[in-house]
Amino acid sequence: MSQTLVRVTPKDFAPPSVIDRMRSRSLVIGVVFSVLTLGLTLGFGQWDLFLRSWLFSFMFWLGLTLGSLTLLMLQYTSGGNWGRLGRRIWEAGAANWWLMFLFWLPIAIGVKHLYPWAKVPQDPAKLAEFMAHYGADKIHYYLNVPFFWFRGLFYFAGWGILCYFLKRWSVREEAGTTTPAQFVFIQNLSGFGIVFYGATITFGSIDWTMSLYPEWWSTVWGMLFMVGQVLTTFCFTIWLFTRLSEIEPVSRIFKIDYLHDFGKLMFAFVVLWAYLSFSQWLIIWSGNMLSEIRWYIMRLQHGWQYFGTILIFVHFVFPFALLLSRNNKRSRQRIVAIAFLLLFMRLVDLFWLTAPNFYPGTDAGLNNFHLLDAAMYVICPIAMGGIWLFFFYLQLSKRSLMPVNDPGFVEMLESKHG
Amino acid sequence: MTASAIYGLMAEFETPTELVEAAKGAYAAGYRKMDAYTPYPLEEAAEAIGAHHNRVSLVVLVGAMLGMVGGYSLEYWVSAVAYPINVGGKPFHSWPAFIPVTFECAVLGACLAAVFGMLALNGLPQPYHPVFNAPNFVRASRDRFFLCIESQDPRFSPSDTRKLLESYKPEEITEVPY
Repeated sequence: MSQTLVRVTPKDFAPPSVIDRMRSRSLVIGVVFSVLTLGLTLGFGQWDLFLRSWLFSFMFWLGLTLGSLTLLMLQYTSGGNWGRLGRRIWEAGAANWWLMFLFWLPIAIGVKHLYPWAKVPQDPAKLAEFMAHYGADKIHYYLNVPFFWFRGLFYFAGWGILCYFLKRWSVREEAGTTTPAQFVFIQNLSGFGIVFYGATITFGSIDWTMSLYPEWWSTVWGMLFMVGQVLTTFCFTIWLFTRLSEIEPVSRIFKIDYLHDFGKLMFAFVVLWAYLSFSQWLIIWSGNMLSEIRWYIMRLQHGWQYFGTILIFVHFVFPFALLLSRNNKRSRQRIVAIAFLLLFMRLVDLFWLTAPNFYPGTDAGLNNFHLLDAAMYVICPIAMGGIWLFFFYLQLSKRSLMPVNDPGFVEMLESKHG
Repeated sequence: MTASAIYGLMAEFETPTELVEAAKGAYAAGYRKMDAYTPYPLEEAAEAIGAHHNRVSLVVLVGAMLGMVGGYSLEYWVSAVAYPINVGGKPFHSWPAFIPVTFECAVLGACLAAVFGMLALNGLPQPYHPVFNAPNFVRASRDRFFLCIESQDPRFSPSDTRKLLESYKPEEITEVPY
């Protein structure tokens, strides 16, 4: 067989115009739903409700941002074709870290409206009661407003620095001016970055979600968010990659095997999510301690139990059964349908983890969850998502879609077997 | 059965791409009784000779189901029927506590079914196989890619099959004796 030597340049994998169309559409959706969110908030004067739904949306889109950052670093340390295919998508996703920082600001400002531990009463008698309720005043060594702000700034600064170095490497590689030593540096940085992510998301998920109910704790909480975030990113990647694989330039190198690989990874994270969620439940249920079980009791009555049941069957059993099949992982339509289902279930999971705290089940539970609450919980993530996707597509349309100067990319261009 | 003295015709290729081309060609020409031999797993070759439809996955599913039902039944029988012991005020039939064992038994059943189902369906262990009579065949585990069209195939004819294989320009074509 004759080998033709053609130098592939980044221009050969320039982003298609469809990305520009998707970008403008995202902007329209983002703006319309942002106006709706603001309108409902101002119209009904429900700032607390705004913050609740905002926190919920923030955790979902933060998941896509940080999941992208993690997968980007993971593929630098592990290698593999799946990493080269997803690299630009994850670079564009991670580059939105500054946007997530801006989205974090309302939470930082509204901390006293969201978190019970921040509502420290001024009245001495009530203060004593408040302290007694939390068992000890030591809780405030960690959960106090200035430290909460400082930690948030620290996480975002760290993620921003990681993104800066990863971006700098990527731009240099595309220009073709890299040295092997620089690649070793980026690999080492990625190794450190994954550990840093593990630590920051553990503390971050405790700060932003677990401390909504400070009387309760779970040691698997950080892992639950880690796995959820990476799963969200895999689902999103599968959808976007399949969409782009039908048109030039990605169609030139697309093999159904790549979709199969992504499907296997998505499957693994579905199982891992179920494993962690179930072990948290099993341990707390077996222990049956008052301090721990209350969190579940709140979520297992007054209507919230339906969400828990849906999670078991639609976030785990159903996708698990479907993803066992090789043919489902190798069918574009079916794998994208499963990815969409799981993206939706990620939202349901985050809703079930965060929302019941605001509608305690002792009296009415979900009965306090009115139409306005439901509307805000639907509109807010769409508003945030539209803006997130706008900046995501903006990043994606600036660069080539494949890292053509990666040493491993040549073999991906070779004929479709072998 | 035709009185064929040979097991089949074996073509030797230098690259996986050539092997897959030839395998696809042979499949398109109607040959079904053939096999590809490569130094490392080559999914495309397996697909080209139409070898991907086997029953192992079904056997694994049945194994997993049996393990699942077995594990759960064992737990239920022990905790609720044979030795009902009150643990922390929990009901005897405490299903959440049974899930880990149920899951592990399902995995065990699936693994056993996969190994033994695979062995049962692929005919291993096989102490003797004619392909090893081809002189250069040792290189199948090193750096060469082989396609063997078997004489059992109804379309097999020493001259036509050789012609077909030759059209893919292999390094060498050898007759494999029994």
